[in-house]
Formats: sequence, structure tokens, C-alpha cells
Amino acid sequence: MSKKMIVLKSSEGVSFVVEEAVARQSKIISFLVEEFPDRELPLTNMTSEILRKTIEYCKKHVVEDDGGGDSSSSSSGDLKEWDVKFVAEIDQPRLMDLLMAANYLDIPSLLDVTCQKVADTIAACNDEKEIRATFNIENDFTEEEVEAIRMENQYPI
Amino acid sequence: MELVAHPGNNTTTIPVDLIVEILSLLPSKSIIRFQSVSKEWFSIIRSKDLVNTFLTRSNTRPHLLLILELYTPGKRFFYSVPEHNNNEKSPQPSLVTIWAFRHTYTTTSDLVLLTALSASQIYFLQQTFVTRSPFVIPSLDKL
Repeated sequence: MSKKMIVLKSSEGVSFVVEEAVARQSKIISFLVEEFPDRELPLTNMTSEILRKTIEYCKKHVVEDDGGGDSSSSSSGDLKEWDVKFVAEIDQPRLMDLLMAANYLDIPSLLDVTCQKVADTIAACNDEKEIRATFNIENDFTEEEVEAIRMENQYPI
Repeated sequence: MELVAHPGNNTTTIPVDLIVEILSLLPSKSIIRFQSVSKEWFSIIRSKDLVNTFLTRSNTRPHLLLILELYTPGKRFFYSVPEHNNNEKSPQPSLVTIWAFRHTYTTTSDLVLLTALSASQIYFLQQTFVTRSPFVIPSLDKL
């Protein structure tokens, strides 16, 4: 049986031709493929770069799911390692974009690894100032409010 | 047909449910210091949703808590040990935190005092979310 291909289009209008099995790891695409077969799917909120990354992840995972077969235990360990490396190589802003892409396209395993990576990044921050800087969050507390929170948490019991 | 959601650029705003998801992956003791990041984070960390997530996880992952008081009075070391399972014969305790306690313990419903060795003041406590029954800890030689 020949593999059915589908076309995903990034916000820049770049088309990506992907095997259906690869793209179907996204629940949203899976649904859209059934509703609108033989149509290009425009992903207007996703840059080519992020879409390429997402497809790379899905490709890796579909191959492992297919080929793993009997010796699944060692390959699932390898896959975990691959996931860790995959998110480790991405810089902070792109990681957030990838997280959003995983959330939007509904790819649970990719969402898990990106969430975990963000959580690790937060855990590595020493204080709230570092978190704000890393994630570009505005501090909307007044000095007094911060002090009040600090007082409240003096005895962590 | 167009798929429209959040624009993908560097100023991505993460939806609240994702922040909840991410924060729930962090150890509960560490998120308390992230309350003052922003008002949004404050309300998320104080919210029932997040507390419930932690409670659910505690329910599914019973841990033993081990408290040691060493030479400095008022300093107690809290160790968390995963409960025995068949795969790991001797789980390694991990240091949870060092808290300065005042000299009384409040024993809440999820903590049970099992043993107190007066000499080195070792206390064993167990979270009994699941079974609500005590668990006998094997003898402890030296720490």
C-alpha cells in the first residue's frame, strides 16, 4: 500500500509534504484529514521553523512506533533519550513556540516533553527575577505586595 | 479553512492551563517561592486546581518521610523515600529540604509518628494517604 501524503503549510506559506501516519500524531490534524481529505492544511500560527521541528519530532516517533515491535523496551529508552536531546537543543523562545505548537496541534507526547523542559528551566532559576527575565514576564506586584507574600511564607510548615 | 490560534513569535503568551500543567511538574516545595513572579502566577499557585494536582500525585505515589534532627537544635532534615516496589530493591532516600522547625510537631492526618529513638532523635513518619495504616520500617543501622 502506498503511503498517503498530506500537505501542511506554515505561516510563511511554505508547504511541507508529510506522510499521513506522521501527521496523524497530531489529534487535530488527524481530525482534519478525515474531515477535509486531499486538502492542504494551512497552519497560520506556526512558522516554518517550528513546523519543521514538530514534523521532525513526529517522524522520529512514528518510526519508533512502527519499527519498535518486539524489542520495544530498549527502543523506548532510546526514544526518551532522543526526546531529551531534542528539547535540549532548542533555545528558550523557540521552546515556548514548540510548546504552543504541541498544545495547539494536540500532540500529547510532545507537549509532555516540552512542559517538562520548561519546568526544568523554571526549577533551575534561583529567584523570581530570573524567571521573569527568562520567560519575559512582567512584574505587576508592588514592593509592598511582594513583602507581604514574603512575610506570609516565612515559616514553611 | 484557516487554523487560527496564538501567533508564534517571541512574545508568546502561555495559556493559563499550560502554566498550571508546567507548575504541577515542579516539586511542591519549590513553587512556593515562585508566587511573587507575577499576579497571574500567584493566583495559579494559590489555586485549588494546582493543590488538587499535587494531592492526586501524592495519592498515587506514596512516599515515606524520614526526619532527622542532628546536632543543631531546631534543624531537621527531611528525607523522602519511595515506597518499596518490586523493581528497586533499595530505593535511595533523597533530601527533601531542611526546615527550621520550632519545637513542636503537629501531627496531621496524613503523617503518623511511628518511632522515636531518643539518643539521636530520629523520627519516622509516613504519609498514609493511601492505606492509612502504619508501615514498619526496617532497622536503620547508621546514618
